[in-house]
Amino acid sequence: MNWRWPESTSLEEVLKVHWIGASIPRLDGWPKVRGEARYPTDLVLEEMLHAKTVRSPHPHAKILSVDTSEADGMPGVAAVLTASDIPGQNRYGALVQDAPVLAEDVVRYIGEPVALVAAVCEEAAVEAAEAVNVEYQPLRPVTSIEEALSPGAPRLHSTGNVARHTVISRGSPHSAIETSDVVVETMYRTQSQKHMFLEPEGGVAWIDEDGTINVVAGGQNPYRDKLQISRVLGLPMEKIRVVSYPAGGAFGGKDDITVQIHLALLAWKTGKPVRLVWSREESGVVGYHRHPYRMEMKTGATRDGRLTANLAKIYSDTGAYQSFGPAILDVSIEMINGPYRIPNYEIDAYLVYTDNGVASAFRGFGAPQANFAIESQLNMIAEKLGMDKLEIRAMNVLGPREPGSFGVAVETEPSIQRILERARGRLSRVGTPSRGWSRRGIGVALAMKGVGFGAIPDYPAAAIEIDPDRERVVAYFTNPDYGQGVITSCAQIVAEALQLHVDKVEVVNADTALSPDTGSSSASKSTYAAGNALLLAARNAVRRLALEAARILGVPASEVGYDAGFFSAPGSRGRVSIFDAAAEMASRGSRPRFEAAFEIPRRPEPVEGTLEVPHLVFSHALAIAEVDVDLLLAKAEAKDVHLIADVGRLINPVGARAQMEGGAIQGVGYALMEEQAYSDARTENINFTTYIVPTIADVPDVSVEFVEGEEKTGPYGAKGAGEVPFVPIAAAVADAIADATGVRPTELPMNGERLSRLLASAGLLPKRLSRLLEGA
Amino acid sequence: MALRYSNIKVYRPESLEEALTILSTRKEKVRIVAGSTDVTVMMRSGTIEEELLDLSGLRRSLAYIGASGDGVEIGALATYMMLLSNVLVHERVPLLAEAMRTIGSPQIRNMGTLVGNVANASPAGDTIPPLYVLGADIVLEGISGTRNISVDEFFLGVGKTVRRPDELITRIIVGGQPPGSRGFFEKLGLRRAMAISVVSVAGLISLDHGVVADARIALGAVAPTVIRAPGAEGRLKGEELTDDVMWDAAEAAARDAKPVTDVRGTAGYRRMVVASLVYRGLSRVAYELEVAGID
Ligand SMILES: Cc1cc2nc3c(=O)[nH]c(=O)nc-3n(C[C@H](O)[C@H](O)[C@H](O)COP(=O)(O)OP(=O)(O)OC[C@H]3O[C@@H](n4cnc5c(N)ncnc54)[C@H](O)[C@@H]3O)c2cc1C
Repeated sequence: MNWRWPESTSLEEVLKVHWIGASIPRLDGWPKVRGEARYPTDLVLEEMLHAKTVRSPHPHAKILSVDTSEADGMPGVAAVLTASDIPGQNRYGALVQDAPVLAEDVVRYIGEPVALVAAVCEEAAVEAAEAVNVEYQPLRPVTSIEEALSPGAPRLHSTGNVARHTVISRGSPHSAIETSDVVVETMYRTQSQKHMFLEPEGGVAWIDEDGTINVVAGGQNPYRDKLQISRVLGLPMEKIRVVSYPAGGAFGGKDDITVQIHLALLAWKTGKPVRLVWSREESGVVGYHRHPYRMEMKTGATRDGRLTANLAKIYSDTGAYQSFGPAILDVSIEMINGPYRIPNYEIDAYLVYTDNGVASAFRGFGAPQANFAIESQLNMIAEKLGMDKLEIRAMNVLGPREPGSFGVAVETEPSIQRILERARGRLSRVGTPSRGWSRRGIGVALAMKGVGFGAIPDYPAAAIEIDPDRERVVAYFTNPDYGQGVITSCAQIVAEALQLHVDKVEVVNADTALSPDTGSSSASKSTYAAGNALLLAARNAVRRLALEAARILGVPASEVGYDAGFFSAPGSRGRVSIFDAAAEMASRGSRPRFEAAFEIPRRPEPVEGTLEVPHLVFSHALAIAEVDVDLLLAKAEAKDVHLIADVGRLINPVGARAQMEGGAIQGVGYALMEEQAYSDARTENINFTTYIVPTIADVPDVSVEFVEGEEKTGPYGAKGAGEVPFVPIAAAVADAIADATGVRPTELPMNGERLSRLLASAGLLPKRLSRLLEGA
Repeated sequence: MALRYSNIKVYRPESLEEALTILSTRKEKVRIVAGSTDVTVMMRSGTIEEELLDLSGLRRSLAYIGASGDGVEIGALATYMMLLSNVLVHERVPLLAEAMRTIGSPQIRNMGTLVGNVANASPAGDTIPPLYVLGADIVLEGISGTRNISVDEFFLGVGKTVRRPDELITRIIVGGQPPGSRGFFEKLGLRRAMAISVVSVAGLISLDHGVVADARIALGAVAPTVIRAPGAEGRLKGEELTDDVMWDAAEAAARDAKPVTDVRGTAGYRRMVVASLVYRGLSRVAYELEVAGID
């Protein structure tokens, strides 16, 4: 660690300082900014083979034959594998194992893997991959949600094209809508978004002298990856080691399997080290993306602004396989009523198969889509009633501990109320006013995001080792740090728990050979989960080492106290450092390593028809966006985003702020420009030229305010910060556009192409431009 | 079939003569490389020859900017950064400078050359519409001689020019902006930087007592090559820049355009943007005139 306290600070003062709330720099920061860090795709092993995937050029086809004979015989080729080479089950998937590792009889999206090739160099692998002869019989593809659900559509799976259908209702939603004073009815569409991490999916695998398969690849849940590898290879778990640190970005796109199983298969079959890295274009075509949604909403309220009913039809396009689709749909279901008191509702939700690639986890996990719909509905109701947009929220928001739509509270202390209070008076333009063709608008949206897996059982386990020789505390946990900073926040938690300088703490991250299973980095929970487990492990360490200290001090253990790294007892001279106590323990043959598991609190039974509803812990954020709309160019630019958030106690305020800023920026991309468009189940937005993400020149001024709540179940009061800032941005930007122009976008992204048509339909575009747009 | 990097042969001539000799023997088998900001992209997509002619050994003779008549002469290895920090460029062809400032990012402008942009012959090349309205001669040299081709005769289609495989563009001579004329460059990309033009427009308007004496308008990314907009130019000549005239010209330009639907936009949207950008450019000129008090 290169960070220091100011020279004048004495050690005593340092030790009195709390590490919770200290904005220390990232522990992994220096090697990363210096370019010294070695990411999985940077690794080069001796005698390493290079792998390439043979992929389907068709979105939907029958495989008639796969002929590898030509490729097999090519110089330098070590292996050509097809479905028939898979020893175990030829299926994987985070929730349901429905995706073939290598396609057998049917392919369901462009780029679906059919065979694997490994050769002595990348070029030979590419050539061999091209020489694998696959004969297809193209089938009619299913290209949209609408088509998937239409009567004559091809069936993508034996169960049909609906992967899941859930209806949840309460009260009498239909009659409540009938009798509502105002009703807003809108159809929303959101697009497929790509993660666009800088490091594409990839890594290396090799086999140890003892026969263990090692897989090092960017991932988000090494133990789940290990489990999936073991099923496919038909090998016991202990034969497999997965390392998922460091990863060059993930955002959900590396949560399910990417290259891990293919790497393990190739290493197992060839006995050699193998490297498999997807090109940017491969990542663009076959990497995961955010589910596109269609949402039909009908929301009612009384004349004075009280919400009466919400009717929501949600359609999610999961692509060819389920991956996290069902859980993502759950989160949308849970979010579609917002944090509001809605006595009557009906949620009719569909997860639909198409041939549009494979959708999976992405920051927000179903919340951003639902938020775009419900927050836009709320803003429209406020407009209809002439109400203040913060006022209507304050009126409808659930109170602390008040049971919400799914029987649990969305907050335990008045977090949203504090956020709304802080937002007061901010809904007025602060930037430059409208001029020329430019119109400035301001918009607002409120979001929540569950922390963790809700009703799904989750028992994160972690370990702490006290190393007496180096006088270091080593923290082991497996939620990968892919840039979000969990290594640093967990080191701070351990330092605080043991009252040691954070320089004394080291982290071993995301290695299944060294650490117990702490679960995934996802669902905004890595600090919450790992932090809690480490906290328990630290307490175990102190409790156990107190016995050693008692021995050394010659006093009964019950008299030993612990303070700032030392054990002591009243009346006994001297003190014993935690490291000396650990040395004492080690000297008698016991490793001073302490494990603990934390059981994430949950409702034992999920809401009927769902896997994970309800969550018990939520982070909250309100976004205020200022947007300029150019009525001549039909272009919207975000100028300013202000976030007010409660993510619980801030372990590392700068880190939390970075999450807020990153979320806001990625949210602006989602709102205004990012789109992986599919036409005929084919996409052209496959690299940084054709898939448009914001550059620094497109980034608005982002400011962040925290309402620091204290989450009782969180480590030192922390909740989760990763996702919630992303969630309200699209709705806030849409609201700002509505404020600027009087028309409200209901489709994402709000790019020039869509905005021009929206403005034209409202008569806001100069007439001559409208005519040209329509092709007249 | 992807390019095998290990097969690539690189020539790195030290003199123009040597370069032209290599070109005369290797012809279309060899790909000329200047800043490589386009060539690197082609290499990744595998659409390229296996021989490269790296011009970096010729910097001393080709990385220059000089005066030529009332315009400027731009050597083949002059980068955007060099051009944008050159006084002659700002004084004589400010319109071109305006366009170059929108290209890529600082890194791309450090490496990329204007000649490379022209040779690449993309209809979305941002320096090309300004060259059309300013007037420019492309100087092609081969071992058998030198020819000057006017910019509006240089391009044949997407990536296609009249350059013969044994010729090198050694320089481009750009006409200066006539005194009293006003130029504009307008571009719409899908974001504010690192953006390929969805549509670009360059205009050069010469005025005589508030009346348009000459109007040249060129459109980028709406046809296989950059094109002039004769309809728009005709509507402007002899007129004052009233709102109606500007809208008429904008609409005429949109009708001169022949856009296609692609990953960056539909044809209808592109046509609309042509009109938006022409109107915007013209109204900037009209506004400047008003501010300058020229009636
Ligand atoms: C990230 C990025 C952003 C970009 N943004 C923009 C943008 O906003 N606007 C824009 O217009 N362009 C943009 N470009 C394209 C590119 O930067 C320009 O076209 C650049 O001017 C090319 O110059 P170069 O020196 O790099 O050419 P090179 O890549 O070296 O060559 C380009 C082509 O010209 C040929 N060539 C080069 N020199 C000669 C010569 N002397 N004689 C004959 N043929 C020659 C080459 O053989 C090749 O076909 C961008 C590119 C990238 C990678």
